[in-house]
Amino acid sequence: MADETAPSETTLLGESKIFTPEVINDIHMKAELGRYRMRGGGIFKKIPHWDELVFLPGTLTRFVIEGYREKCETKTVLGSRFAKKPLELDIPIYITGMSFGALSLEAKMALAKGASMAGTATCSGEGGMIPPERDLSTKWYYQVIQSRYGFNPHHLMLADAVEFFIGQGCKVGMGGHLMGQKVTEQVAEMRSLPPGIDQRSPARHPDWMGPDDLSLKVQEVREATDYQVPIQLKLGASRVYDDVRMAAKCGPDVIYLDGAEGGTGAGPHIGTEETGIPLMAAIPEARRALEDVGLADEIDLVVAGGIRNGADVAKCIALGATAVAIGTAALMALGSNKEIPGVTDYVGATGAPASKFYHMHTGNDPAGITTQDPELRKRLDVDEGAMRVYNFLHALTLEAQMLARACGKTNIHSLEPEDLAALTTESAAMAKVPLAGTNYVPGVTEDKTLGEIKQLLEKHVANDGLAGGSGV
Amino acid sequence: MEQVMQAPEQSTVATKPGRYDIRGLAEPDAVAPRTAVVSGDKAELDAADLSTRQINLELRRLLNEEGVSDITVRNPRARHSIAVGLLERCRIKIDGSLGYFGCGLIDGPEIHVTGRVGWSVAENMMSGVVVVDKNAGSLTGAAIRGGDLVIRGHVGARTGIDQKGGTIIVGGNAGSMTGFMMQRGRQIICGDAGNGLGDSMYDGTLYVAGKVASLGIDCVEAEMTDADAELIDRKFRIYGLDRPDTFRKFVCGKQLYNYDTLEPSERKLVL
Amino acid sequence: MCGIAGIIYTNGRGDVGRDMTNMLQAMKHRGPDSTGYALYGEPNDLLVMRFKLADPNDGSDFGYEERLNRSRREVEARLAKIGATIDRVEGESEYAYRATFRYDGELKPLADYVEDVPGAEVLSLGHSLEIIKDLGDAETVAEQYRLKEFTGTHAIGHVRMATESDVDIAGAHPYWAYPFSDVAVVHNGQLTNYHQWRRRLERTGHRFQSECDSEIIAVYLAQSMADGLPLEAAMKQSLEDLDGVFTYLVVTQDQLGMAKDEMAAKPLVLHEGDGVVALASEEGAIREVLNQEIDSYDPYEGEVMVWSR
Repeated sequence: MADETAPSETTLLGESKIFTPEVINDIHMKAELGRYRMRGGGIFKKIPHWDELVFLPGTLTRFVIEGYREKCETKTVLGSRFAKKPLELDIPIYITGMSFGALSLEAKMALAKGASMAGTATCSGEGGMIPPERDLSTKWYYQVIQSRYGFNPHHLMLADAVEFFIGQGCKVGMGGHLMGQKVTEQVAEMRSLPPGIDQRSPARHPDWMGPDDLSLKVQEVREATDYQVPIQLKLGASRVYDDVRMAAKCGPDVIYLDGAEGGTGAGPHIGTEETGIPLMAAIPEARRALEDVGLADEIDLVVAGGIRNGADVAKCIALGATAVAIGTAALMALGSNKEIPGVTDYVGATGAPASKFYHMHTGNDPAGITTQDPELRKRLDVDEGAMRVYNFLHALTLEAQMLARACGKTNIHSLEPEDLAALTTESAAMAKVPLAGTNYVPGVTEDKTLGEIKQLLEKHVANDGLAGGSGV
Repeated sequence: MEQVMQAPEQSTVATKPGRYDIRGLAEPDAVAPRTAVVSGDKAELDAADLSTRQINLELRRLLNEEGVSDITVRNPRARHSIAVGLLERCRIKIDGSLGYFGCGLIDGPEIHVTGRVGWSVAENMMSGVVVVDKNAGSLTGAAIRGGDLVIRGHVGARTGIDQKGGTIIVGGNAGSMTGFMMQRGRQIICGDAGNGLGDSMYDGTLYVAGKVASLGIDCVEAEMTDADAELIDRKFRIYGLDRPDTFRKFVCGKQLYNYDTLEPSERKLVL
Repeated sequence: MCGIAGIIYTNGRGDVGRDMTNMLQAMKHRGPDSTGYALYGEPNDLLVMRFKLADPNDGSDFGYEERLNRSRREVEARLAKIGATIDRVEGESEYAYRATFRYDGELKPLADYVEDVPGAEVLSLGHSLEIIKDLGDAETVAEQYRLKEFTGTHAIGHVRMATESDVDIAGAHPYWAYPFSDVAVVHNGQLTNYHQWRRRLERTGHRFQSECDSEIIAVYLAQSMADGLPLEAAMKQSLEDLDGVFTYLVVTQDQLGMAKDEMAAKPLVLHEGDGVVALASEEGAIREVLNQEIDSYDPYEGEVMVWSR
């Protein structure tokens, strides 16, 4: 073996961690294109995530529930605040809104069918209702989204719940995207747009400009739907405490919070990387906000963003979510990012191997999911896809139940933040749970101690007065 | 599509604290007041002492249970969210003014408002006619998809934002960003238009008789054709409006349709 | 998140307390947390100061009343010490007071001196401006402070849904343009260069009682007027200087102005009638004082309008 430490004329001093090969390539590309770069998927850079939390199951202090046999209720009710018909789900997980346009018809149908098999809901996403999806969904959210593409009051009346899309975690403060390659005649017609154009949807709703107007918009939709179904406000996680307080005061039944880990079918790379805060940090802020406005027991919290397994689900619920929505993972369950031997060729079609595929925006999805191409779409079988989605939802539920039972819960919604410990100080500070093996919650512990010192000092001053002070 | 109506139910349980809405906007337990005076297929409703919910419940009751198809609402007192979500043919006269979101999410009704309307009147209307005798606030006809929306007075900013069809006619002036991100349909403005007319519009046509403060991005002037003149004539005849002599026509310049450069992976490979 | 309203009687005076209460109550849904008034009575040579010595949220422990009394005596002593001749000091609620006095000196040292008393905040100071704000809806506040009997020339008001700060009086509008006599502002919207402006004004010696962007507008305008600009010109310049979306109302001893930013994202309905001009976030509020069929319209983007009494 050559001695790498020996002096040499060709030795490199090192390599930049700032100007990495990817960064250099990005600069070259932008110099060619003259615009920001688009892509699908979620955040690339490393952010504190659910892996940094663990559960504290029962041993002797707690009675554990028989892991694979005894009861652990998963029924989840959303929106019983004002809705005459709250949304009742068998499991605390549902499929989030992804548009027909971003997804193929077959993908939308398979997700709807799989969710219905699992006793849970799907959501229309942007771009309007497609009847086959509605038919296959036993519980169906209809989205009121900024662009109002395809929005139809008749379809609104068919909804089991209404979601106001105000923002998404992947690109908070920005509108949706759909590149022209995916805007077929059919997609364009549903959206009343010319085919083939790059859709950059509005970032704001057309008919309200701020929370005071939103209050009235919520009233309008309630009046139109006769108070039958829950109204949910979907927010990207950003200034969570203030946003959730404001949202709560607009009168919704449910608030949906989307963390920075969330994905998209297409968005500016820089928007995906640089906006929003992790879900782990957002949920405790949202709970605190709801408590501070006195609506913690009235408004349900749905969360989403980068959920991969039943542990992520259970951790979200423990921190205070009523239900969890999944998107990216559901597409993977359908078969996204998976090479089918002899059929798909990820590297050939997109330049990236299946495991690194994020090219949903191009419409060249080899798995036939995020595409409108008739040939590619044939690769996705609706029934098989639905079965995989059902299997995945079922597995997520089993995993979450397993952890809940281990913590002694006969109901998954009994999970609480005290069932968690953090593995890093960052996650302890964000999730506001103690660092494992300690009582230390960064920020919280210090505040508490300061409060105690203040109180002691006040008592001391009240008893002895300032005059007789210790000469400090 | 029939609307799901539930019989007004008595509240049996003690009101949960969360059902109480400090703002007074959510009225989950309200019932139809049954105070309208019905004669044949016509009815008259005095809304002076009724809440938004009560007015809407009474409208639904008259239309769906009493077989009434012509309703006059008196004393609406600029309340919000009145006559929304009506998906049937009917005639409604609002004798006075409406607040925000008046006549939103409708398909079919013919509505005449004798006063003024607040923001977002007739938003997402699918078909039908809404005529407003006085002024309108901002976001008039937001995301409208069909039908005729006629404002005899002035309108605020962002008229016909995200418009997807139908016709908006304004007798007076329009504010800034008129036709912002418009997708289809027409607007006929008899007075002046504010800054940013037709900004980022995708399609559709804007006709303006008065001064245009400035055009928005990718909005360009086009030649008036006989078909344009015929359309305007016809609409003005229907609604008995004074027709300004000349209109200018504005359409999309189509420069913003696509990113002008694509990365290799974004180019369409298959098909 | 809020509703704003203004009224000015262009020839004479009116039941400004009652009218403003009715307007604000009609917009309760826009802000049920707190309600505030800036009312103008008949100007005279006495100065009127509204101040509070505690917040309704403060716990009233056993020493509470004694502390308030002590603070009140301290305020009176300080007014006398700085050279004011006190006419009267009345308790308006258990923690809010109205003082009238004669005083010829600069207002800033006086206000600073009063606010140096623990818990004290000067809500307004001028020859006819009186700011009253407290928790609850307009009816509640009007009842508590007996505002329905207040007659005067013009007023602005505000209902607030607390968002970025807490439910307390310090966060409630209107804001007096400390330390400028008789100037106040209410505002719907948000300034996105608030912190820049705050630091800039602080560098020139201003102090701010709240974290609220509306207070910036009040001080900004008053400072511009003190620098010699007429109100309307100051307001026009504010459209250039302030970023964000906003519609605000400003009042001086004899004027009421409204400004709407270029984005026109915050509502205002305006009625100019015989002898009265009424403005509000929603038409329903104007209807409460002018029940007959009226004409009203929305001012356009970038518009500045001023009315004199």
